[in-house]
Amino acid sequence: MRHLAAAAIVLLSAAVIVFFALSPGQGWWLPPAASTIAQPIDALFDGILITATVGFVVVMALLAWAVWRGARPRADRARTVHGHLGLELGWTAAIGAVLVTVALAQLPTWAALRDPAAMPAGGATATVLAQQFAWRFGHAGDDGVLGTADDIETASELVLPAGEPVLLTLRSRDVIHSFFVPALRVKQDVVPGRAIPLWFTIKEPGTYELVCAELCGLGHHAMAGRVRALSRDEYDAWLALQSRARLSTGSEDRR
Amino acid sequence: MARAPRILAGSFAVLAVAGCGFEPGPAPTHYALTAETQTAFAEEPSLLFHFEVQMEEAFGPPGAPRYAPIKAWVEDGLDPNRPDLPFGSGSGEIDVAETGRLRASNREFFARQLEALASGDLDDVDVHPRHAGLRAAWRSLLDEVHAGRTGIDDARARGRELFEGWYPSLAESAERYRVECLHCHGVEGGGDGPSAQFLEPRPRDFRHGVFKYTALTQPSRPRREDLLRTLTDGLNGTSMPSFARLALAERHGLADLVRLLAIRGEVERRLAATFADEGELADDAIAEETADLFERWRATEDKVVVADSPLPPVTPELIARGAALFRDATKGNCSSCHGENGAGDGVAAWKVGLDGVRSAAYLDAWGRPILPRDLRDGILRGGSRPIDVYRRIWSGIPGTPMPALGTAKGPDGQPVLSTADVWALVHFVQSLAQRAPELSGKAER
Repeated sequence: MRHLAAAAIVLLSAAVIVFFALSPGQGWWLPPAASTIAQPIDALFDGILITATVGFVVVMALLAWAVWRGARPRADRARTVHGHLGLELGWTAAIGAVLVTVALAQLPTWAALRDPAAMPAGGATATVLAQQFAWRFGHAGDDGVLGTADDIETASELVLPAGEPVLLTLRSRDVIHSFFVPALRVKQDVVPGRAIPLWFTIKEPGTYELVCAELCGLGHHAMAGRVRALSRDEYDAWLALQSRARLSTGSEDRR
Repeated sequence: MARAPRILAGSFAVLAVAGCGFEPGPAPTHYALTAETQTAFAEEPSLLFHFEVQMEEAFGPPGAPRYAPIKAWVEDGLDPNRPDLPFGSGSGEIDVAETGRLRASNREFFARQLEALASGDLDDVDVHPRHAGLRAAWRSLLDEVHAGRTGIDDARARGRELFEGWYPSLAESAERYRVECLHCHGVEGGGDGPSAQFLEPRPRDFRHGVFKYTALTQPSRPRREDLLRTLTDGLNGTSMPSFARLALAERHGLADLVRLLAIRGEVERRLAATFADEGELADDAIAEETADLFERWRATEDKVVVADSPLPPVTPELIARGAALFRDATKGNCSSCHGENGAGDGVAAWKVGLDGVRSAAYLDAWGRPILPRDLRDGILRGGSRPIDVYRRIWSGIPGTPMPALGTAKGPDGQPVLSTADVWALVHFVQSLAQRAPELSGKAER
């Protein structure tokens, strides 16, 4: 019976690993990377996943070995141990070393995206305002400055140029939200009272799903939107169109 | 003994699986009458029951709302239940350009189904049970194919038209409303759903037929486009979110349903008042009021507020002129409520009780205390485009003390404000917004 249990541990563990190894090919993984920051983030993700997989294999193998070994009827099957300093120090240090390595390895990537000074010159800026339960976005109007009366405001759909760095300033009106665009590998909590900068470059024009990744209340599920990336020309045309629409006298409403 | 934990674990598993399909409670089975109606009919319970039955005959139950046909509509060839076939023919409200946008939105919304339809096995095309009408139509088409009565190519063409040309029935929209809107706006659209008590400002009570943010001169019912804009962009500074994630057709359908709820509510309010006055109701009272209100909802074409001249470029002089008009009691007189500097602290908006406590001096049309907007935070609920602010000033805000300055006449019979005056006020209002420095991308870089 215990031999069977040990075999089951091995088989189940193998099945889990095979399942996840096959997942990306089946489309059960993150969407294709669409931003330049995706490469280092995916590298970190894969690195951590592989490290964790090695740990998983070692732990499961040890577990299966212990169960298999315990299956033999032996008089001295159990032995009380009051700690083993060397072993405990050893595994604490080993796990600690892995965690510190991961923490240090991700720091530069994490920091670079949130440091506006590291962003190459040029590019577009926009503001993101999260509220229960909606995303609102602001673009600089004709004067090129955000926060003036001629800003262009949109809801639910954030329009950005592709192929150049964009700087977002994230703010929340009420509770903590999280700005998550899986295809761009961008995920940043939006904390009330703070203006959080975030910059990245979208590689290709396209439409990318935006969700709130922090449970923010009853309507959390409804807090979905889109990021629409346009080529620079299309983006300029879109901005010009919005600016013109902003200056409307309302005559287009009369039909 | 060992069995108990296993049974427990088993029931948790069953519960977990059962709990996966979240459904927001059973559908309400009837529209409740308001407290005012109950009071009006208090002495005549049998007439109250009769009235409730007649109302349900006229507007249907919440699960399947619809307008009962009215003679005048039949004569005009008007069917408000069918704005869909083809778009625009029913009540004649959806124009050709909107038809194109609806089709494009449907193509995107049903992309998966259309793809399966074009390339795959017809049995692979699935329709979410939420779109009950569309699902039934597709199923019956599929049955025809299986019975050999329709060829595959013909079925593909008809299926394509089914998805692209889809427009929700009022019953389908009612299901959408139940899931998305009901928890704030309530079954009857009374703004009294279970979440409403936690919200400030409160959700709109549709039953007065009064909607604050429209493009129209007042009094008038909103246009379809006004409701669509609120649904699509949400209302900044309130709990009304954007529903842009819904298909355009679904938003149109919700606008149709809001109109039905508003008309139903207003008919009820009017007839309760009539009954309270006269002690009886005519046999066709509901039909008459419905026809009258529906006409009012349709008569909005000539009411759109359009500025005579485009927005002048902003200058310090123009802002100063706006400020003067804002504070001039014979011109804008805005400062009487909004305060000298737009902080919402004008003397007219507040009253002081005998206990010295300051409170709102005015009630809105829904009977709740209302304070003037603090214009300094830059959150303008009716929209931030200059023309939006222009329209707020020109037409006022229905249901609130905000007056329509555009149509106001002075003692000399001349309009109080000219178009240029209103634009100056718009510039001044926009200049009031205190913008947080971190919002300015350039200053930061």
